[in-house]
Amino acid sequence: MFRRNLSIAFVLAVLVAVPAVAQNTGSADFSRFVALGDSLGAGFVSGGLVRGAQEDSVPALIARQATGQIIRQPLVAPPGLPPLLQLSSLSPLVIAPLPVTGPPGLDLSPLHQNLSVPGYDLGDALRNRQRGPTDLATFILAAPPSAQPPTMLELALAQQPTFAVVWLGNNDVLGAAVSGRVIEGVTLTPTSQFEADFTGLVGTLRGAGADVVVATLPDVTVIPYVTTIPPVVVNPATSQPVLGPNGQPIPLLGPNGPLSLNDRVLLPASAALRQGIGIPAALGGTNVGLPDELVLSAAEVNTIRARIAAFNQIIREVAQQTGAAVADVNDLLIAAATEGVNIGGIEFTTDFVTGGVFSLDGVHPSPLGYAVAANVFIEAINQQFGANIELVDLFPFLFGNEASAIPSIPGASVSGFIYTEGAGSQMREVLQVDKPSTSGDGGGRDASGSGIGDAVRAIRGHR
Amino acid sequence: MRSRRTSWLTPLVVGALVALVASPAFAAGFGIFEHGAKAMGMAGAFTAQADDGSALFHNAAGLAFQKERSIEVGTTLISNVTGDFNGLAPYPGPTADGQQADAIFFPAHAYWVEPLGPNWTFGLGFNNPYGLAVEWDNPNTWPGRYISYNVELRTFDLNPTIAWQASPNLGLGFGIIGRWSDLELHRRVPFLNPISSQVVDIADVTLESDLDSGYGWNAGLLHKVTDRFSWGLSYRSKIEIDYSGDGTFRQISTGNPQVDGLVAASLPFNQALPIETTIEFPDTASLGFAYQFSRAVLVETDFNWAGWSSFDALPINFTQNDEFDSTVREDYDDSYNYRIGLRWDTSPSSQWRFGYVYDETPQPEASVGPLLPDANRNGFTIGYGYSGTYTYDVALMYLIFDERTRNEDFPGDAVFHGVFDTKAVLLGLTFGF
Repeated sequence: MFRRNLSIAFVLAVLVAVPAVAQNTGSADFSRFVALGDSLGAGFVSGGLVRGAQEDSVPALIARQATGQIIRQPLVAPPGLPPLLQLSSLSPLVIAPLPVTGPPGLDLSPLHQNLSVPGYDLGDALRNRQRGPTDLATFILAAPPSAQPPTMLELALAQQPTFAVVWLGNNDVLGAAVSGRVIEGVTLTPTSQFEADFTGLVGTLRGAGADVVVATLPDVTVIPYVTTIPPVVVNPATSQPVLGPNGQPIPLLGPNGPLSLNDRVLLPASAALRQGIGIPAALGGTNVGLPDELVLSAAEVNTIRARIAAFNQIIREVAQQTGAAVADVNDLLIAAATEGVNIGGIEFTTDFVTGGVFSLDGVHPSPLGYAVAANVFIEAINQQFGANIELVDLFPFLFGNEASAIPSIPGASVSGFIYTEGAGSQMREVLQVDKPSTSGDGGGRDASGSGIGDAVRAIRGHR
Repeated sequence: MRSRRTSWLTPLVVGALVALVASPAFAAGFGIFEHGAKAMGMAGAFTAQADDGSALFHNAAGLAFQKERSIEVGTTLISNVTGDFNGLAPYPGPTADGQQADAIFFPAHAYWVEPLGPNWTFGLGFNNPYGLAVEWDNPNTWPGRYISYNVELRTFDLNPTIAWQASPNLGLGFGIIGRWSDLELHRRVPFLNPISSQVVDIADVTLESDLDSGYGWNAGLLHKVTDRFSWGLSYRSKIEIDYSGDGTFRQISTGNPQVDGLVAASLPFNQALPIETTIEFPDTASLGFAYQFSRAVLVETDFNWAGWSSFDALPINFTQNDEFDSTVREDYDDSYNYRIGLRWDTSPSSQWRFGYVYDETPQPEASVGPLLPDANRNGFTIGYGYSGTYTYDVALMYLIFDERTRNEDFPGDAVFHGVFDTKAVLLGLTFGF
């Protein structure tokens, strides 16, 4: 009997001693985990933040794989904040925001581990203390009352982090691409400032004793928001370019006359094109050029790409100097954009709606895209810290409940689509891009009025 | 003479008719090495003996020492005991698994040996030297179904050979190999249904080649150095076969008419679309040494090489619909196998045989997958033979594959990680007249 009790005690001891998820994290210490980021780190999909996708954000997946623990995140109940874009019709393809049914359901507890704020650039993470009525930061960076609101970095340091995911800098280049305007110091951060800020931020976290993983910035000129609409007149019935008398496609009209084949037309131009803007009079258009905000010229593409290359060089150098791991997210995006990503014989690409890697806003990944990116982070962590953290199982993202409401149609041809005025204005609001002056048929919703504003009102009511 | 030959050909023709069945790959890669129960009983360590009709496969020079007409026919029954898969992250992940369908295969062999004079011997061999049959249970749930849920490769060789006894202890042989083969592949087409947000199957694809052919040659040397010691060398050339055939898509309903309509407009269903592919079968070489330790006991050990680096890809080209083209990267390496066999003569008319083979896989980790999960394997054999007015040989092989784990992929190729576990039993039977 005694012996039997002993063996039961032994079995219990073994059971207790083995954690639920036994992962070898090498020299990395995940006991106090934080993430500093922007919309990508927040798990933003299809134009909004929503609980299901946030729970599968890249920081959440890294922490879950490494420790088996669920991190504290500022969760938002469906339909999301702002309400998520959805595919409201397949044929014709119509993408519009979900209807709002009431005030947003927010988790208002302070001190989240995932501090990623959509729209934040690197400088914001270091210096931004604004908590305006329509700022997501007011909700995400919620902190105990203090003399002045803390910055994202201060809020991270307050948690004495042992491990930090740093996925910042995307908004230091994205603004130029999605606004169609390269304005040094406004839509594009100067290289010297980026270098100083990135060195400072990573250095501070390392100095505080945190292990760090950083990520390269994705080439924002290959995202569907930028690549989907060709710069030529397309016959909506056939999806094929209309050919001119010389057999060549007919360019759309831009702010300075006909576009070149290397110019890009941004996704929200869909609504303007349906009104005949950008289309020559001879083809039934208004003969009015697309505004500058909807066109990214070939020269602007080159400027943005050069800046991304410079920033990525800085990111690698700082990581090298500080012993941080580098997740090469840009390498993943370029592979997806050129060859596609093949998972078990299923081919995923960066094509809008049909590709599977990006969500319906054309800027942010789908849950599957985030999960694949999380594996790039985990591989980098494993390599840098001698860890052996298991990769994220992608099966549930294709067949199970993680597939979420993010549609894509690999291999199928979609004959034209409608990115509604509402969807366009929501994205321009989220991306902090001014509404194009030529649009505005009255059908657009003011995202701040129905989404973020309500959120902040809810926070005020809570306090 | 002529009519007699024709009648002797009958078993070969019958063999050809029954033998164009698929065989699982039971020498590493998708080769088959079991083409005669006598050699099989000694785990195929037979290059330095080659003293029955299977010399036509193992070492053509062995014919030079065969002075009597013989006809042998036989088969090797192959049954997979297990063929299991368990997934690993990132895809298809630890919850996914699969099992190969139970099946019995019977690659056949037939040999005709005809002495032409004191020093010359003619032979005609028939067998199935390569084969592949990997069928996974339940194509509706098998996680590898977008790569393959059922693949069959069939080959048969006709191998006319001439051998010359150059001296009382030296034989040389040379043959021409004609190889006929066909190939069949079944897979599913995936689709991320925008309504359900789940991947669903929208089409079943059958790729089926015609019976296509290629040609090669073989040569052998057998040197009986002393009464007790002999050695042999055998070589078979690589053979390339260009296949042509048809690919057919059949629609699978998703249950949503809008999705089904979109799919129907996107894929050319129920048409035979012309396809082409090519396989370069490897060249192989065997070097064997046999030593007669006593009147009753002979031991042979063989070292075999296969030039599997010829198999670098399996391209499937739709000649008129290149949007469906695909290439499975293979990047095989040349490989070796090592065989040792013991022959024990218990009486002038009966022999027991024992053998062991270690067969090294040519397949790199990144190409292990639903098409072919190969692994290093250890084979143990036991055999018995009787010879009188007629002969018969039986052999049994238990083949244990090392567990094979795939944790890496060729860049850009399908991610498919997991552990493959295979065991097989082979029963060889050969009758001689």
